[in-house]
Amino acid sequence: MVQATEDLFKQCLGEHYNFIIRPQWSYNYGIVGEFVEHFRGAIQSLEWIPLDEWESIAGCDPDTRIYCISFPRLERLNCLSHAAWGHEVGHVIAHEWLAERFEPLWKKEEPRIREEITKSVEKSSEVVSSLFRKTYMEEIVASQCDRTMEVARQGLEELLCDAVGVYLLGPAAVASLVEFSAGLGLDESPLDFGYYPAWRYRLRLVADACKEDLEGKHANAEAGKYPGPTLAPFIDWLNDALAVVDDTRDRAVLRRHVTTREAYALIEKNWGRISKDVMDRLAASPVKPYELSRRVPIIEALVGRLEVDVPPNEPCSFGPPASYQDILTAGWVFKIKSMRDDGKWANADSYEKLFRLVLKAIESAFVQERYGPILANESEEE
Amino acid sequence: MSTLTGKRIRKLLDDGRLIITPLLSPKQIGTASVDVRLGNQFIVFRTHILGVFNPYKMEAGQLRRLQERQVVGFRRDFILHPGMLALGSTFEYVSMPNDLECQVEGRSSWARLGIQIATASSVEPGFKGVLTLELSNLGTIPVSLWPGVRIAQLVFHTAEPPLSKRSGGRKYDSAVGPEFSRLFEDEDGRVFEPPG
Repeated sequence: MVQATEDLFKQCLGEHYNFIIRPQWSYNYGIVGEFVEHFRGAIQSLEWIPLDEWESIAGCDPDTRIYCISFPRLERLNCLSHAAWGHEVGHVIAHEWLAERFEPLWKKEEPRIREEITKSVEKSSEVVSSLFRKTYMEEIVASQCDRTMEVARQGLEELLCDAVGVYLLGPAAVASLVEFSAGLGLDESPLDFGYYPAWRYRLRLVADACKEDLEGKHANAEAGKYPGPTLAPFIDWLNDALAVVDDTRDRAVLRRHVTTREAYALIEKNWGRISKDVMDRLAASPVKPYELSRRVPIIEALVGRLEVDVPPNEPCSFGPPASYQDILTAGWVFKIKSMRDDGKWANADSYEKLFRLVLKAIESAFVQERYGPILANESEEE
Repeated sequence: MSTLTGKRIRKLLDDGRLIITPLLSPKQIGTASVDVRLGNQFIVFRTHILGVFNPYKMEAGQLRRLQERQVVGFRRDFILHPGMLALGSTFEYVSMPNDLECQVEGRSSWARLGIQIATASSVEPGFKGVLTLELSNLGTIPVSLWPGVRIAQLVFHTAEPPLSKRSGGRKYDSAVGPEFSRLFEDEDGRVFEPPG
């Protein structure tokens, strides 16, 4: 799965991006890097080591980028949950966008935000001697402004990553987010949560991003009624899970503090434009947005294979290899359908078998895609 | 019992009654057999910690401590040294219909280098999974094995009458890589265990 994942990310970002994907004990997904720039900086400070020489020994050209994606060791086999890797690679894209565009955005919005913060601080701050009041107020306002900027930046980064995840992997990415967030608080204030957006807020934006797809916008009317008996349990399950976004407690939490209120006002005001900008950049890559409603026949065929305990790497014998996204989606659809159809299905053995079949399918399809055409050409030449 | 020709095998594959997936090249279907490729997972013994062991008395966890699974990337080497046994598997996943059985046969090109491919070579009707290969080097020089190369062939025979239901255990079903031995699940060990 690692090779196939890296291949997908390279298609999305460029050949010079490289990924180490490793399990970690911490129960979380994460990405660290970029390592080449980090070591380049470190070595540049050691004047007696010629940087050019080091780069040629390491075999990397100036554009090479290396990142490390971590996933929870406990979920090592749970490839369906690894749809969260789409979010992690989103950090690379979001980080680049923020480095380029966040500062001008903040500068534009800052005067209004500062004014709001000043009003709020004036209302709520304790009584201090008039001698120190001006300095005190300036300090508090400056610190709240910095905090607001961090909340907005971190919030935007995470929300953009979710959007990238949905772009790359479609409803499988949403399902993975839903499952991951199920055991966590949905309405934590970013101020208590490392400046991360509340889960309910995140789910609301991913629900918006895939709403039309889940409703069957791209389904081929001639092919039959959407979503059909195979996909319906998965679509229903996702819609049920995403119904939590109708509750707006997370918004009430954001309104409680001026920093979160203003940070998220900035995000909401600019979200449409920013997310479109990032998606347009992605659309310039060979990877197009993954839309389940365009893939109904193939997903049905792949689920059919899982139902007879066969890896879903191709829809039929001698068929074209299924895409990475189709295989993951078929895995999710099969899992939810099996849980709905048979109350006893959800046990460790069934999960293990499903995960192994999906992993085998991803590997088989990757090898088939990469080496199949070469072998076919050689056969013709002989 | 009759042997299936390539044409008949192709028909069964097209109908979806027999599944061998993925077949990277149509050339894999021969006159009366299907060539299968080497997968990229291997199980090797950790001989440095191994004494005499009794596979009937060993539980799955114990056996896994004495053997380890190695994953070798495609376009990488797996070296089989003289006298070494490694469990490999076919790259292709097979799903057998209830009226066919097949024999796994090593390709003679490998045998000529001293490589023995499979000893437990019968695949019963209804089986699903990759086929575990018992790879051993009977020659005197180390041999490099590459995941993806054609390593064995499957020869199919009709089973008469077709099975309505598989009898016996399915302990190796739905495998996607080589499987550890599960002799400890057999009743033989309990019946024939020497006293004391």
